[in-house]
Amino acid sequence: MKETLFEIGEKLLSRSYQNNIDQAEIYLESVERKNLRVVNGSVGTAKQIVNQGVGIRTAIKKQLGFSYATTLSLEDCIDILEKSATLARVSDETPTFVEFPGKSSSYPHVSGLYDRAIAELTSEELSELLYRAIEENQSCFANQETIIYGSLETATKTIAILNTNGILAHNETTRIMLSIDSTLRKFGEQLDSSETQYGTRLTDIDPEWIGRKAAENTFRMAGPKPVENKQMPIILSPLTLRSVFRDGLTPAINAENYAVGQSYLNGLLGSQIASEQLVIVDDGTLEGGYNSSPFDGEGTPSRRTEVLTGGVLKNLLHSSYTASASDSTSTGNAVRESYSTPPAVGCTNLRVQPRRGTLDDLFSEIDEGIYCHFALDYPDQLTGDISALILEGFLVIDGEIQHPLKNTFFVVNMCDLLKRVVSIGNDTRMLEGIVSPSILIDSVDIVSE
Amino acid sequence: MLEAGNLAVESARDIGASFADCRVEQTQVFQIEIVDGVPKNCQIAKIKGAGIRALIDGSWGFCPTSDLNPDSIRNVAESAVDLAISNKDRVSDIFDVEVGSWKDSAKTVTKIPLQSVSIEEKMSLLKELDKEAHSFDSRISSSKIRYEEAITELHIVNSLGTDIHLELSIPWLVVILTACDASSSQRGVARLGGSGGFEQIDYESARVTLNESATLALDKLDSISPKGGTYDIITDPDLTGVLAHEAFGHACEADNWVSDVTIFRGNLGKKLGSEVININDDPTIPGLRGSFDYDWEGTKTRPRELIKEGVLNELLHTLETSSRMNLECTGAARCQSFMFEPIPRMGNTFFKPGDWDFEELVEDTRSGMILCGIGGGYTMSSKGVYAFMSTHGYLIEDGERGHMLRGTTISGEHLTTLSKIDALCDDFRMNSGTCGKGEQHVPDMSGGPHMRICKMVVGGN
Repeated sequence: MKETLFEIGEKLLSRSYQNNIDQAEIYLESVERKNLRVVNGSVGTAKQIVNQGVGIRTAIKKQLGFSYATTLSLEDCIDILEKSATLARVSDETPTFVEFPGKSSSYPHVSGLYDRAIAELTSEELSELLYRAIEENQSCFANQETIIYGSLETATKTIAILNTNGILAHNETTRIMLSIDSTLRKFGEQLDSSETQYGTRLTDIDPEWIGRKAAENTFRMAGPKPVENKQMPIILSPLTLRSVFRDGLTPAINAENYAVGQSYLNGLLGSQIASEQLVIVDDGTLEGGYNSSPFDGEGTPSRRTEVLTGGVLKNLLHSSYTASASDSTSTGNAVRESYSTPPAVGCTNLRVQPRRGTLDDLFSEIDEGIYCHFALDYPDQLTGDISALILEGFLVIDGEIQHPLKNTFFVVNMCDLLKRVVSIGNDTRMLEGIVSPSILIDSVDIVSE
Repeated sequence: MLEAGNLAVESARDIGASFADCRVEQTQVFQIEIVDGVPKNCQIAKIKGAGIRALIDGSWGFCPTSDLNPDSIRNVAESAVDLAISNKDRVSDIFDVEVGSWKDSAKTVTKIPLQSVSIEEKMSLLKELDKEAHSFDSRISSSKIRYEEAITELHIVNSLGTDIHLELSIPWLVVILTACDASSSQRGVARLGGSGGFEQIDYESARVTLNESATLALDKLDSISPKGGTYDIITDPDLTGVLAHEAFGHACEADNWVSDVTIFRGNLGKKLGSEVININDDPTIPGLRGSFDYDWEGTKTRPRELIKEGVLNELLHTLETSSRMNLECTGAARCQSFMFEPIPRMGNTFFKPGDWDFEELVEDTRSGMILCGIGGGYTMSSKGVYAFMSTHGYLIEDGERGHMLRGTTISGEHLTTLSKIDALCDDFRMNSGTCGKGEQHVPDMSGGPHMRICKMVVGGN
């Protein structure tokens, strides 16, 4: 596949020279995804998807265009190159654009990104893996009334990036995700929870652990109650922090948002914005990282970037565009979801440095507080306000879980949340691009019915 | 396109599929975004391919391809059948699709076809709007104005004889303005669009949208944070629409019912709230963003009365869910593109108006909050809870509209929400959006009247 992608890319670059396109960047991708869903022991739709396409950025002086096609046929790719250039020609200048990245002397070696064992899984083997998790989950419930939903997805992706400034990069990765969601009907209640693992190697997935944890998570949801509205400490689990950091922190440290005042951290680069305990890096070179790669979405070498050190905001995340606009260096954070999106600033693997202490140790620090296992919110990027419904959370008294919560929110501003970190655990989990242990925040507003 | 679809279905049938269908799609996507006067994210895309499904003894296989050559189509159809065969021994609910078939062509009515307006003209409109945004008020600090359009040609065939040809045209304008003063930065978002041609984005309507976004951002500079707690709330038509969508629309998508995880289980045909409550999902209303004549399985669509006079009345069905539940298919199957399989989705979802006057409702409420705008939301059908976000609001104090509030999150439980709704106003508005479910995003609309919901938990800020 690598040779096919490079061959198409080189033909398109030649074409761009012939068509007087000043700069062109060709991003080619071929992904094979296999997906299996099982509900109540019965297989739903089995999917095998080969998704191939090309995304082309062109520049005519400082005018930019982007176009993509869901095909690798040369005829369609040439059409797309011409459409991208047409768009660039009718567009206005982007004053701060300088150029697409140039050739790098070398890319870092990042191990653990491709596992032949995932790439070669047959549909029968996929089914076996998923049923191992389902059967473990089922065995925990004995003969109780349950609905078990299982999902397994693998992806094998080959990408190639070429540009007129000398970038010629290629990478091959695998990914796997296995999830079990179990719903238990008991004493008139419907209890529901889930467990998921993500990885780049088959050994990252432990089907029996997932099945067992999903059942344990479900059992503990019985008898939810509201709590008193007041300020309390809260432990945020890695699952909650995935949402908090991905949707609450990443947009704020995006150099493009920061430059135009669209970040609640505006003007705070170099300042103490968080507890001294908090050390966060963005690491595109993390071994086996879900979003690791030797290079980013425009061919800039991946690297490790300090975001928070001792609570100080050390760096923002940059693409080549935001770097040249602010006279700094790209941090290798031009992220592409696929060939259908142009590169945009985003995190790779956002890692929170773990400290000492298990989750139980964090519990022991709480006289009266909340353990939030799962919450979702879309924090306000401008103000940093979070008003998150706790979907799976518990009242904790004297370090012990008392009961699950009903219709309860935790409310806090991101700036306060970062400053009020008092303890960080060592129970690190990699949940897609967020790699974090549990964190204890000393005070948030709890609002309940 | 016709040949590819028929070949896919014939190939799948020949090698053992009891039912097969194919969507052959060709979509042109165009997008421009002007950020503070500078064009960003200008895109043209070509989405072309076929999605092939095969059913054997209740087991589905699905494979898409962007290669429409006959050999490729045959191979992909064979892969879909192989997938179905490999899992058919692990299917507990053996069913087949047995419904009627449709043969027809349908086309979005356009006065000014999107293709007839040049890129330069579209860009010129956005630049004009951008200039107006920055001259609207000196406190408007940032603007992002995005126009996007999708022109789709879709051919749907299945082994029961369905043969539908659709031509869809969907333009959309989104205006996001940020206002800034010494104390805060606030954002206003407004949207304009439906299904049709460029007449949907006429200059005057676009200016009204811009005005709405700018006014909201500026007004919010003086807003205060709502205090969390339990309140009687009045939702504005936009937020009423979000509630219709998150609290009821998703719960009525029948894939949750055949998998038995819905909290509404056993409630079909039962009264869940006051008889003044009616929630419809209607993709047949001409010109709306979530409108279509036939769904993505080629079923003729129709209005769905999800909640009728307080009773949970009917669901959003695909061929699979209607077959497995032995109910009429309501034509609700949609796909983001040929890359995805059809699943039950909403089109245009709304609460029907009642007879309250808005001012009288505020006066009657005495104390609480008016909550407004589309701030997003999500639903967890298996947990029976949902949350939705306002973009702004107002206190209600002594029966009068009080100080402006910032956005907040509101939560509720599916089973109890209808019983908390006690008043619907005689006004009405629909607003446009995009709904995400799993990996698939589709255009839709939602709306309704101002509406009172008692004792809702508001997260505050």
